[in-house]
Amino acid sequence: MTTYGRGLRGLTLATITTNTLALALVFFYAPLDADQGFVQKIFYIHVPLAIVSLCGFIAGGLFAIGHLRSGDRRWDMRAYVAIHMALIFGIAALITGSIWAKASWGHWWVWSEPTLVSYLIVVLMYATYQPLRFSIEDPERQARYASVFAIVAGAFVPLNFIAVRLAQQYVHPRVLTLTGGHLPGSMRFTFLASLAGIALLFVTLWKYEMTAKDMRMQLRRARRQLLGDDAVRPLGRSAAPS
Amino acid sequence: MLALADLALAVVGTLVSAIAVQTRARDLIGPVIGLPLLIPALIATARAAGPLLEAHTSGSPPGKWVAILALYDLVFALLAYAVFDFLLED
Repeated sequence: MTTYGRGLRGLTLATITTNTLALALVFFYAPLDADQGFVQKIFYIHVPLAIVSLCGFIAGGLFAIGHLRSGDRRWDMRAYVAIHMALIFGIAALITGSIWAKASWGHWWVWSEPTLVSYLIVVLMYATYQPLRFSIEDPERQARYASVFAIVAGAFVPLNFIAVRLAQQYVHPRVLTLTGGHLPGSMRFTFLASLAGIALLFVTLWKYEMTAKDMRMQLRRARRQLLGDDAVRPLGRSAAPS
Repeated sequence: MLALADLALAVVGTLVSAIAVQTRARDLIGPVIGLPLLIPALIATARAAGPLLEAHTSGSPPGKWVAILALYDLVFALLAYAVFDFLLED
């Protein structure tokens, strides 16, 4: 039996300190952008959220590979929680991105911009993950089909990303490139700090939810042993793995 | 190029319908999953076919979009081959 609670306190403290430090850097250390001013600071939240959510989707696909290879239901639970968290992060990235677009471009949403639309496609596709789970009754089949979906969609994420990178029209700013871009050092450091903060936040939330689900399962098992099978009500049909 | 587009439609369509046929809302789940998965293929096909339909053209489809389409086909064909056993095993 795995215990997800181990190391949770240290991880939580690390997340809180990193995020506080990153926010302090964003507001007090990073210089104001020359032509965008204060609005540009939302990038220190928006871009890490988008990156972390895409990585979370891919991680969900990798966990799902683990499930199909081993047949162990815990991998399915890990994939489910990763995708569920990444979806929340993705919606947060869409909202922060819209706020920035309204301030900078004057529109909440621009349909001719490949980056926005492709990201929306990815988020909407993962929004079908839970309806898909919910509409399959047999839990074992539910887990297997959800894993197949998570793998296919996880492969789709980088492909989509490559296709967008190759498309020409750039309105969406690209400051983070492999060659280092043209970020000044202090902005770059702040950005990396907030990226680390958001990534740690993702891992911590994932661990918390895994701990909670694991504890609930152990509790049900213990009650069933102590009180007999009739004392524990069966779970209703749900999208979550059990 | 159109053969590549056909292949993409066939591979993704088969995979998605194999997932959807076992669900309760099968008529809804199929298109809802399939459409986002197919959008890159459709965009690449449209972009690659566009220059062929213009009046004054050099006559060859742009290689970049054909390459994207081929990559898409390759990845999804391999994936579908890998995961299909899990969908049919009962």
